[in-house]
Amino acid sequence: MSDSQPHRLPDAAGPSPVPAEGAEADVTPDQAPPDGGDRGKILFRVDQLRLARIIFGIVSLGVSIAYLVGALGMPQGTGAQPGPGMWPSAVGAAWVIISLVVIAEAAFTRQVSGSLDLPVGIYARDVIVFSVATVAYVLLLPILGQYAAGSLYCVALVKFLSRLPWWRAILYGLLLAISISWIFLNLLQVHLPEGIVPQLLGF
Amino acid sequence: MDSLIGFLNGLATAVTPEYLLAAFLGAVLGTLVGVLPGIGPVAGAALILPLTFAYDPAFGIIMIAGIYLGAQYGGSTTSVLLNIPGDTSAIVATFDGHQMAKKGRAGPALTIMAIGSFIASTIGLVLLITSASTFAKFALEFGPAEFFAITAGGLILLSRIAGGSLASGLLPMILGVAMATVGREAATSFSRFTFGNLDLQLGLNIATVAVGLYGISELIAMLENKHRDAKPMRIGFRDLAPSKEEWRRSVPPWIRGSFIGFLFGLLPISAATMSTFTSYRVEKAVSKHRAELGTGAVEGIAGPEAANNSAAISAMIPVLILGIPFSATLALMISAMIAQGIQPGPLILTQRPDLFWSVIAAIVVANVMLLALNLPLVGVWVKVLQIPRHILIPAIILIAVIGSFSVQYNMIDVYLILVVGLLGYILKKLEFSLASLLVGLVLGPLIEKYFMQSMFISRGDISYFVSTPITLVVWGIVGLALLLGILWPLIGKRLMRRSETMRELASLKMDDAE
Repeated sequence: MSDSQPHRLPDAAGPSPVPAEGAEADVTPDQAPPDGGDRGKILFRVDQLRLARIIFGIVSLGVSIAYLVGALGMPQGTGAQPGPGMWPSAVGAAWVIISLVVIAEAAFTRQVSGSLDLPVGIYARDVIVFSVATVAYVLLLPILGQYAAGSLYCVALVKFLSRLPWWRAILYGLLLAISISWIFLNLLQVHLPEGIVPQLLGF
Repeated sequence: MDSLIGFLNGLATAVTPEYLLAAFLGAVLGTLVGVLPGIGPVAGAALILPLTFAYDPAFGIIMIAGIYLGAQYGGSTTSVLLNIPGDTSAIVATFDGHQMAKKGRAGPALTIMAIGSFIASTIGLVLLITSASTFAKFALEFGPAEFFAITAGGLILLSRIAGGSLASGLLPMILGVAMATVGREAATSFSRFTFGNLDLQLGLNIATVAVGLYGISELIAMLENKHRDAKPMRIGFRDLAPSKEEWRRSVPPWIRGSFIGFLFGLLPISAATMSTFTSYRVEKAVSKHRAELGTGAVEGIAGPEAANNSAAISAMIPVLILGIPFSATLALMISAMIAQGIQPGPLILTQRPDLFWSVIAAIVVANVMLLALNLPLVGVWVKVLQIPRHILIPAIILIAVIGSFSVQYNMIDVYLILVVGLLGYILKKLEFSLASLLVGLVLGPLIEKYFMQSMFISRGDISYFVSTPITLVVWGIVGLALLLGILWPLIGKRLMRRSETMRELASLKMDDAE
């Protein structure tokens, strides 16, 4: 099973292959400036997805070089007695080559092409709310403990991802967080950070 | 005969209350994650994986197997009712399944799929039971070079096939393999890429990475989904019965799909997904009603659904006998086994036959449970589809965080979820294959182990890696797949250019003639 292959259905979720508004659209020969470059000859046709992959490839190349340098700094051993650095060095070298393949593939072929399906409007707002709330929950967890941090998180998400009034958001959020936390912490005896604040308050 | 006795002993173990509970929980949770659009089987299995470590190995593995099979069953429900596949292996089910639903035949479509899944899983299990010993004997001949070829070569092949373009599969694969090198090296205990952080000594936990990679990115996808508020149609128990004609037309595709799926499950490819597409093509070629395919034909759901489930069963053979997973969910199963101190491989049948056969028998039990759960409870699963996302999303995150923390009682695993979640989101947006990363992370340490063993045995002679017919065949196939990956775009471009030139010439001739 391929569990991750991005799938697009004509009728269901999925972006249109047409570049989004404001996107850097493909330059076609008839759109090229008449006096531009080599008489309008197109050297690169870079769309959003290809540009993003070139940037990602460059970042990956930088990280892979750092990884390779780190790996080469480890004991390499010999062919007959390989050291702990030999395998990571091989992996690092392969990573550098693959990063170059990513860049070359995006720059010179149309294997992967199209617009970036980024959320806009209410969808973008929901993604931002989710991301900020989740990061805040994880950062607050060791400070406030699971019950308090989880409750704040659930109330925030219930409120901002729905149109419920505050009192119902608080009720649902608290019920959700307390029941899940109780099942795992008290019933299944899973340990979680108790939190500095609850300890200080003597809970 | 030994296999049959082993299986019967396993069955006796599997029907003990403890393992029945594991199979039941796995089946329910699997169907649940399969039904919920946005939460795929990998995210579901990853969420539950840490919680299974508290129980004995068989319990945990049976639960993961139940989730795996349950997700196959449940994934297609949303395909039929909402035209949104729960997983990639359920994409084909949208072609005819949703068309049937539009014609008011959603109930029969779900029944044909559930019964087909059961029949296919049963055929797959019979084939597995009869062939397991043969595969194990064959695998006993393998040395480090063969295992290195199968793990490394299989991973490259998987990434090549699952990832779309050449780079789309290879980059996540190498990221996964590189992430696997973080932590103490097994032979010398040398710390690699830990940056002095003691919490990283044990390496990156696969369950944590899987939750981040799939869980977070799928939840964001759920928020971005423009069809997120789609309401499924209501189905009652009475609406489920297919007509006589539909029953009759389902049998041949079920059988064809079962055998296609079984063969695909043995290969290092995205078996469940690819087998469904192949089965659909086969039905388009051989079915008497091929002209109706795409408009709500029974064959279009019966064949692929059977293939999908049969592949899920036969994919267990490389997992249990070679210790090699070819999908992300199966990678999680391997990690569950390793975490429980069991090294899957050819020796598992001789050293832990009890475990091997109890897992296989539990799959049979889970299969029966799934049939019992899916049909009568279809109304419940439809209700599950209606859980509002403002309840679902925080609940999933809470469980993910608790689960990840409980692995090593370490906040670094919780932080890792966020970092990997961001990486997964970016990779998904840029159309890279996430499965390659996860399988790379699981296979990375195994590949390194076989690499080191081979180097020790051969005293550094590189030719040892291609010293046997099996290694030559595997590397030959891998080389060919990579070469085709590089050459195909160029050949395709040339062919396209030629056809464009021919078309232009033809239009010029037409103009001249006019």
